[in-house]
Amino acid sequence: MEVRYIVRRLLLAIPVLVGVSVVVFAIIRLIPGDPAQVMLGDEYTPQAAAELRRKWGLDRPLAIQYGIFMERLVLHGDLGTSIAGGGPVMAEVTSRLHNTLHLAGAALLIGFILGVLIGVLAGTRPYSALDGLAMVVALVGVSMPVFWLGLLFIYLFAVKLAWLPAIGSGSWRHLVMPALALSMFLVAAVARQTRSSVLEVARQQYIATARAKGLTEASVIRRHMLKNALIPVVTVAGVLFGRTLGGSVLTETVFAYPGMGRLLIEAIMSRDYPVVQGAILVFAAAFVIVNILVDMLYCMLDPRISYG
Amino acid sequence: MQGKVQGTKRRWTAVRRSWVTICLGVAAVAAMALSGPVLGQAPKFGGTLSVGIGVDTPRWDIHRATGMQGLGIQRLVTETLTDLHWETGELLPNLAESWESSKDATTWTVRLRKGVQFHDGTPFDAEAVKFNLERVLDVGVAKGSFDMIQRIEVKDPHTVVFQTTPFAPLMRLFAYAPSGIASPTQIKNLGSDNYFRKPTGTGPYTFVEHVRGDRSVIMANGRYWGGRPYINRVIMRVVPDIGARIAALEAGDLDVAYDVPPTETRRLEANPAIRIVRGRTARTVYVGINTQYGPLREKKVRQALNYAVDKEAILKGIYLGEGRVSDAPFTNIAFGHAPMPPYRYDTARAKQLLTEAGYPDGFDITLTYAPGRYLMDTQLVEAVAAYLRAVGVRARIQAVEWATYGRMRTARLEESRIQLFLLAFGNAPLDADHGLKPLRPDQAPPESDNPTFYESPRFMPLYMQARSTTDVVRRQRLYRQLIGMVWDDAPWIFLIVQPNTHAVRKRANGVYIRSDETIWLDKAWIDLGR
Repeated sequence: MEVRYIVRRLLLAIPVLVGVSVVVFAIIRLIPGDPAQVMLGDEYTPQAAAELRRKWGLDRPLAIQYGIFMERLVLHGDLGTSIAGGGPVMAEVTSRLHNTLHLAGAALLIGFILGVLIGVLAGTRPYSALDGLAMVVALVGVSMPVFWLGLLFIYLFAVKLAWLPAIGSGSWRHLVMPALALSMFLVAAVARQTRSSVLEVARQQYIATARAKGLTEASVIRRHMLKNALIPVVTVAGVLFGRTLGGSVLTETVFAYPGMGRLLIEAIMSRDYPVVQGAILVFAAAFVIVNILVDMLYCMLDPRISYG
Repeated sequence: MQGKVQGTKRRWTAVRRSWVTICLGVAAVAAMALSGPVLGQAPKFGGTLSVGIGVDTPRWDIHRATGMQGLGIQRLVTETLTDLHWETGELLPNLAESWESSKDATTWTVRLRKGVQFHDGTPFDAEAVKFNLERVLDVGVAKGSFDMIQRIEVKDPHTVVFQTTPFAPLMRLFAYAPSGIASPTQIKNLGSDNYFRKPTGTGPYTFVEHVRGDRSVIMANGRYWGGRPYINRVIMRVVPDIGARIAALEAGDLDVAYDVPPTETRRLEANPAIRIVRGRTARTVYVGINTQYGPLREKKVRQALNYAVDKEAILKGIYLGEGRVSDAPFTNIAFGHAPMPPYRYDTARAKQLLTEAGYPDGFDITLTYAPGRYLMDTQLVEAVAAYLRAVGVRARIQAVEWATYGRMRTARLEESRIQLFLLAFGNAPLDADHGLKPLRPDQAPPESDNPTFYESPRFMPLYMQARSTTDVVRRQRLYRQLIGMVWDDAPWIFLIVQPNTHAVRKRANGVYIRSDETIWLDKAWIDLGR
């Protein structure tokens, strides 16, 4: 039954992605700015710009341009050619995608683990000093801009302590600071949600029964409280994945980390239409897949839930 | 006996003194060896230079690339016919060894360096130069700058003859990076649209890889005609955030950090491992005036705007004294520069001129710019707006994104919404002809993206006369007249020549930055002991 559900979800994702492609295609062309003029800069002449637009097919009607884009994508898996770089968009996107997935994945892992830990500690000791401290940490995490946090980390861990490289990619050491910086708002959001869930679950009758049976508090939390408290947290984590992808833009810029976020922002600034379209489609597809995985996780957490 | 003992004691004392002296001498030598490089150390081969820039050049094709910092790395692979010295701006031979022109600057005979090969073994010759310049004129991003070339003839394997419209500064223009000479074999083999995958030139470095938006890597060319470079490998890292770029330099992840803001130079200069490199400045920053808009049509109004702004205070307060106040429409290191009497800060004079022009109560105006494009641009715009408001010109700042700004600037006069605009111009060839290009009345939008809409019946005749003669003295005189006229007409608020300041780790010797922001690595080497 789950297999049918997954297949149905994947099929439903197709019109979602088509809708995304239409919206992105339209929006990037509606905002002011001419990719030819951006590329030519001081060397701009209207003749040179017109020639470039003709070469890139941008002088054709919008419907034709969209038709060509979709035909290439559906029939050949081709996202087009980058206006600025000249290479295939698919290659540019796939060369960066794993970097962003590593970063987002690491940030989610840190955010989830630390957030749940802090949330459980706070929720099981409500209105205590530890609870207060945990919520202050959460507030600070959600308030600090990621680029500021990133610069702070670089200064402390790279310049002063020389523990980690300041910029770039290539090893797990390059991932630590960007992932930590990106995870802070996740820690905050997950901690707050976990705390609320734990407080809610702690009031349930079966928790009192578990304690009455003589189970240790650790057992009560681990075997009875956590699983039920995590269900809303998993929902939030799924939504937060989208925010994490968005936050990766700033993080990748500060740390010079070669991911899709930076590719996207550079493409928007240079009006590299094919790259913008391709990158956002990939982001949308990733978001859809993660949400399917989140739904599957519900089944694992709560056997009462099944999809059919 | 006593004498014998004393004699023995004296001998042992002498021996001990000798040993102590020897030990001290050895210790001194060891200390010197371990304390760092001895002054005057000879350059050594080897090492990797990491250069941090803010913006990547998205395509590794010298004729189609934009972005001077990235082009600087590309020209290490794909050289130009001539070069400009990083400090003096002096025109230097490079792939072109010598040249001569007709008196009317229409026929240029260029003799090429012999015994040079491209990295793929293709001989560098006149056919290769013809092929490349024709490609520039066909698909090059900078083809507009080379459109004076009408015909290219191969006279013999090492002599090329260019037929041009009268154009005196042609050889300076050939130092402009987008005219680099690439291997015709490689371009033909890969196809013009795919040449970027494996660029091939004659340069001291060969292309290894380019990861767009992240890094470019080049390796030393052991068969370079100018001698193998000392530095083995150069990596250009794209680090958009200036704070991260400087931190990476301090952490040792970078050897060069481009575009250090003035607020950081003093702190970095105090770091014993870092030196500040100040290149000669070529980028002129100005507030352009739409000379066809309302009150801005009046010359007295435009002059008033110049008197209203305290450029010295701006240079001191915002740029901390780095750079210089403009005394002409382009940098003083360019040929043809003639310093003009400054528009000194004088609010009384500004108000008087506004009153004489019929605007005693001032007027409303919009100052448009794209934040983050130029060094300290937001602070600069805010300062200029504040100075204008102080004399009654109620300036409203409009910040727009760069691509949108470009679109606004190319609108024709009837549709233009531009009134005052912040812009800068680089003048890479360091010649007045190029420096005055933004003001050419025949190239108003939509023919260009510079919406000054400056009209002057005398401009073009003087301009064309100046580019039509190779008589240096006459050219200089003509440019002095032209600059004087433009200065008086004030189609811009003349502001500053932007600092060209970068930070380099001291282990990297001989690293400099040209006035066009491209890196200079001639005889550069890495002190591997640091």
